[in-house]
Parts: sequence; structure tokens; C-alpha cells
Amino acid sequence: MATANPVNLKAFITPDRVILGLETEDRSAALERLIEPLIAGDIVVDKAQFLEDLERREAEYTTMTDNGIAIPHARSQAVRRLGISVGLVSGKGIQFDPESDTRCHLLFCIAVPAFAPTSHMPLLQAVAKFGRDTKRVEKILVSKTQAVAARYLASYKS
Amino acid sequence: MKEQVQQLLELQELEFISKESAIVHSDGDADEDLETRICKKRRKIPAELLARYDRLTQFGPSIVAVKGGMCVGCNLSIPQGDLNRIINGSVEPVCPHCNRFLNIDVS
Repeated sequence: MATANPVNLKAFITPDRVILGLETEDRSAALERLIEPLIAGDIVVDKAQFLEDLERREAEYTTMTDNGIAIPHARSQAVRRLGISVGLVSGKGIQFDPESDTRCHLLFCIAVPAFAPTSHMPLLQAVAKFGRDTKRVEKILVSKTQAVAARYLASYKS
Repeated sequence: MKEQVQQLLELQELEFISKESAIVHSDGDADEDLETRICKKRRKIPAELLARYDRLTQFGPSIVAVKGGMCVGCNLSIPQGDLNRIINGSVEPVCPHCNRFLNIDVS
């Protein structure tokens, strides 16, 4: 399984893939917003299909961690190539996992093409490692612009 | 055979989710429910088929798609005659080059 190779986030995260001040408390609404930059980047071709695949994956096992980071991802026929979008939530956060009281403040949405089902593992590993670093998470959450957030993530060496 | 490949596909998806969860959640015990489901799924699959699946899994996904007439696992072209025989069910859906199970969406 391709989990050993470090990944360069710079290759995946650009300012237009970052959403600042995501104002919603609903998981589906947040996921819909996160899909938009992936559609604009021609990574996802069918929003409804990918949203359905993300929800199905969440139903299998939550992708939210104890420290309020969610990494929704799904293999989907609606995905043309591997891609990621980032959402920084403003306000009191999203009730991402109905079984958890923890509110989610940072989301990474990974689109995985169905024909390359394990291609996202190094990316997932890098993002999960970033999410475990509380100081880095606090710092990215106060980003004032998309470019600053993207640059900060891109500079992260997993 | 198509049903068995579907079962293997479901097993593969659960195993992927288990690996993903191990990456996302650093606490190992959260995966107990998933492991139980994987065990149940494995028990339903014939031993010989499961052995083939496990052997292939050592080298990546065991069940792969066919894209543009090519096996996504080995990137080699599958002869149209073989594809036709796989689709009409006269031979088992495996790649003639790498032996991976093929998940062919006929529609």
C-alpha cells in the first residue's frame, strides 16, 4: 500500500482550493461547499454523485478526529483525478459526526478517482499528520486570506 | 462469478476504509467494528478465492477497473475477445496479464 512516500502538499493545494469562513453547521452543506472548488478545477465532474459517495463513506466510518479535524474522502466514478480542497470553519463549528460532541473547525475534502482507489493514501497521511499538530491547526485557522492558508499548508513537510 | 467479484469488491472497500481509519485516527481501538465486519465478509467468500485475493493484495488493489480497454492494475490492453468473453460470463473476470480481478461496468 502506498503509504510510505511523503507527499508534497504544494502540488495539491492552491489558494482557489481553500474556503475561508465556512459558515454552516450542517455537514452536507459544508461538503457541498467543499466540492465546488474541485468542480471548478475539473477534478470532480458530478457534484451530486460525489456528495453521495462522500456521505456513504462517512456512514461507513467517520473521518473526523478527536481534535475537530475532518478529512472527508471517497472513491468515486465522478472524480477524474486526485484532488483536495480545504475548508476553514468560522463560528462555533460544524456538527460533523452526529455521534460526537466535538465541533469541527477544519476540513480537508479529498477526491479519489475510482480507478486509482489507493492513490490518496500518502495525501491522507500528510493531512492527518498536519491535523494532529495542534499549533499548526491553530495557526492556519487564523489565516486572513486564501493565499496565506494555502502557502502555510504548502510549506508543510510531512 | 460476478457475485463473488462483487463480494470481493465490498471486502476490498472495507479493508481500504480500515487502512484509511488507521491513518486518520491515531487510536487503534476505534477500528474494532470495522474489523468485525471484515471478518464476517471474509467468512462468506470461498477459501480458494480469498487466498487468490490475499495474494494479489500484497501488490496493491486486487480488484481493478478496466479503462479504455486497459487493465488499471497493470496498464496493459485486454484483447477485445477476452473482454467480450468476460462480459458474457463465459470466462472469469480476471486480467489475462496480471491476474487481478476485473470490475467491469457493462453499462
